[in-house]
Amino acid sequence: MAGKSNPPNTAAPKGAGKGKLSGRTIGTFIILMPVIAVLMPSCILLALNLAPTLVAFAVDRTREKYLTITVGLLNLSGSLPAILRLWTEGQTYEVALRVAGDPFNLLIAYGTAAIGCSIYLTLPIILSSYYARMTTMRLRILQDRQDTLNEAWGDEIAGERPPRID
Amino acid sequence: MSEERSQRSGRQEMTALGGRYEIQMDKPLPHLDSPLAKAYSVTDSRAASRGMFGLVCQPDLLPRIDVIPQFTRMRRIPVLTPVDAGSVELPGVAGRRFIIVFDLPTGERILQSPDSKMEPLHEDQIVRRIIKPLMPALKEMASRSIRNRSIRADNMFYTNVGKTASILGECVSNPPGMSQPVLYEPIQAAMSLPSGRGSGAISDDLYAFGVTLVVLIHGGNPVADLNDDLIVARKIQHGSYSTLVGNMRISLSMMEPLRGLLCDDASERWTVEDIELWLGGRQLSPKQPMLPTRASRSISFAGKEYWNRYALSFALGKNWSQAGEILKNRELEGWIRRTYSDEDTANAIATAAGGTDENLEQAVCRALMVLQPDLPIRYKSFSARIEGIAQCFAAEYHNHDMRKNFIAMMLAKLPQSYLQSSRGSRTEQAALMKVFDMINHFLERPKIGFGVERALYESNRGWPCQSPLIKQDYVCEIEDLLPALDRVAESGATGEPMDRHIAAFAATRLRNMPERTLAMLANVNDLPNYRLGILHVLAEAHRVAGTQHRFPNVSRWMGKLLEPVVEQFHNRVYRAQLHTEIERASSNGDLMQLEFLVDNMDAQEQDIHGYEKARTEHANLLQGIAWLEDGGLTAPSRVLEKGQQVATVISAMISGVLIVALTVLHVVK
Repeated sequence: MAGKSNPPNTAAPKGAGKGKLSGRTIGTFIILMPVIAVLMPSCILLALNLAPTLVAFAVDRTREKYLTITVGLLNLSGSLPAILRLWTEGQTYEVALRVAGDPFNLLIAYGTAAIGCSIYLTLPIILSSYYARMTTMRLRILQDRQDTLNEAWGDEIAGERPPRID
Repeated sequence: MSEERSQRSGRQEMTALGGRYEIQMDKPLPHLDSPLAKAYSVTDSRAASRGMFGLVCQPDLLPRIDVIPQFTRMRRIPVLTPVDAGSVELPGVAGRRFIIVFDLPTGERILQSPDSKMEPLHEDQIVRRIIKPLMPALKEMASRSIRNRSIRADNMFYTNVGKTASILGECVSNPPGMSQPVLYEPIQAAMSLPSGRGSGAISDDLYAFGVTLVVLIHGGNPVADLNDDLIVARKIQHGSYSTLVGNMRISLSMMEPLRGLLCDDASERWTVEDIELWLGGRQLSPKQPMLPTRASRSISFAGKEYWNRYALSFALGKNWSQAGEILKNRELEGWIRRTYSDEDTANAIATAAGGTDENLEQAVCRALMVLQPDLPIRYKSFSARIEGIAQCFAAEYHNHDMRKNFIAMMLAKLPQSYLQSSRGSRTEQAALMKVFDMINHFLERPKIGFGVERALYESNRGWPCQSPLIKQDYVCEIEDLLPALDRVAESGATGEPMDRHIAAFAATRLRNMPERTLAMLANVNDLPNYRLGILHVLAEAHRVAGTQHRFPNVSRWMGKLLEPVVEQFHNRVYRAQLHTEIERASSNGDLMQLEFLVDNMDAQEQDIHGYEKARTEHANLLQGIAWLEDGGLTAPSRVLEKGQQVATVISAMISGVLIVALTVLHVVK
């Protein structure tokens, strides 16, 4: 217990820094507050529909957040029918809850997110096969060029030659 | 003189010089032989009845090609003058030989051989048959400064059966003075090697003429019982006149020209004008023998007593090993100082003897120069008059010891010292000094194209090339080099058409041969450059010989040797093309075209540039292949990253399309 309650002194300033809000964050919050307040039903609806994106964001370990972007873009476009319906029927909490509870809208939003996820997962496998084929092809082109050079200038232009890939 | 080639037709039986004079090797004429050349019958194809003979010269000696054209034009004087001369192929003889064609003498030889006897001629016969008829020849040669150097009793012919007049025999088949017996030579020339007598002076011919008269009066050699050394020693001791005439009965009238012509001092010797005056009846006082100054006391050397410098110098030169002793123990110096009171000579000998033992030969040579300056330069077995040194070197070239002595003598600059201490004409001395300095220049540079071979050809213009490859072909001029090599190639020669002799010969005769070519020949280990150097020499020789000539055999030979040069090109396509073009140029016998093909700087530069480019490209290809083989494209991390990127792009595209589609649907609705 003693170890847990007494973190090293060096960590103290770091922890203190994390707890503070920067001026920029505060500025953004001040600007967004009225918008959020006005669009609260839309925000609630979006928060529910974009749940897969939030999950993707949580599990995405890449610096560039490829998974988040891939899932998020399709998830967002899948959430568009629900948002449009909310905005058409009136932006109230009641309508928002009704639309959010419509399984069809949820299916579209989560379905598109699932498509994004599957694209993200299957594409490396497809590319791996493509690159393997491309490697063989490129090797053949380079070795053909090598043969042409050897024929014109003799083997002395090269050192030890790797075995040919056919 | 013509340089025509032998005619192909009828070559089995005869060989034609100038397409006209056919040498019949199956008809030798031994009675017309010269000491160093054999005589054969000759037929003139344009005048079958014309009696002619030809002398076939020795392949390693140079006939007097400098005076042959002059004698050819002197048809009216009583000398056996050459009609034509040149090198030809002879049936049954390997290679080519230099032959000289003469009209047959109309009378018999006066004395059949140097050792034979004859009916002595009376003094009036001598005047009528010999002196008077030969005067025009002596005058003509003197006026043209042509030395005969072959005047002797066994080289003279009667002009008719009645023996009323005579002519001189040929004098051009060997180097000047070389065929003369010691008997006929003045003391200085007689002390030289036969090949080192040099062209000499008109006075040498007049001396020989005087000896001839004595021989004819005597009916043969008057000193036949003496060997050459004894003849010289007697001439020194008693004078030439006393030695040769001895107890012969000579009238006062005849004594006069004999004493004049046999005078040992060349400056006092009778001239052609003196003989004319004597023939005209003018009485000249007989010359008294000019004997060397007798010393007050003798010097003992090799068991003999010597009373004058001349005799001692001759003895020292003949006994080289003991000469060093007498010099080292200062006996010679002391004798000169005490006997002659000649301090300068004694000091000079002391200075010469001051060298170390290893330079003893040089010391003896220098001492001999000082002791009696007008005698030939002697260095061990080498002995030559100063103007005959180069000729002696050439004639004795294949004598290893002699060549070694010559080189040692030249490197010690002894001939230059001789010239500095002599009292000859300044102009002649300067010309000789130039020749000796040039010989030294080449001897000090042993590389191919220089060295002793170059010294040989530079100092003996016209000397035939001594290369073992073409020696038998008697190649005197650069124009003859390629035909000779072509014949060698035709007979299936292997190796290379180049050696030290050919390089030196070509460098001498081809005046514009660049130094770069010789530098290329100098490094045999750099085979492509060496072979290219050979080609440069042969192509230049082709240029000089005339572009209209073709040498297919030597070209093919050279073409095969150019393989290493072709191999230098990296580009195989160009190589193959070059092979084809070399083949074509070789077949055409065009060495200049061959040179142009393989010594193309632009092609070489392009090849090098292309090769470097190809190497760089090849290295890049290797890198690319290695990258691909190492999984450059298929590495899991790369595939994953690329997959994620592509997935993002696809996602963006699909969502974009969806958003647009939904928006449009919503608006339409």
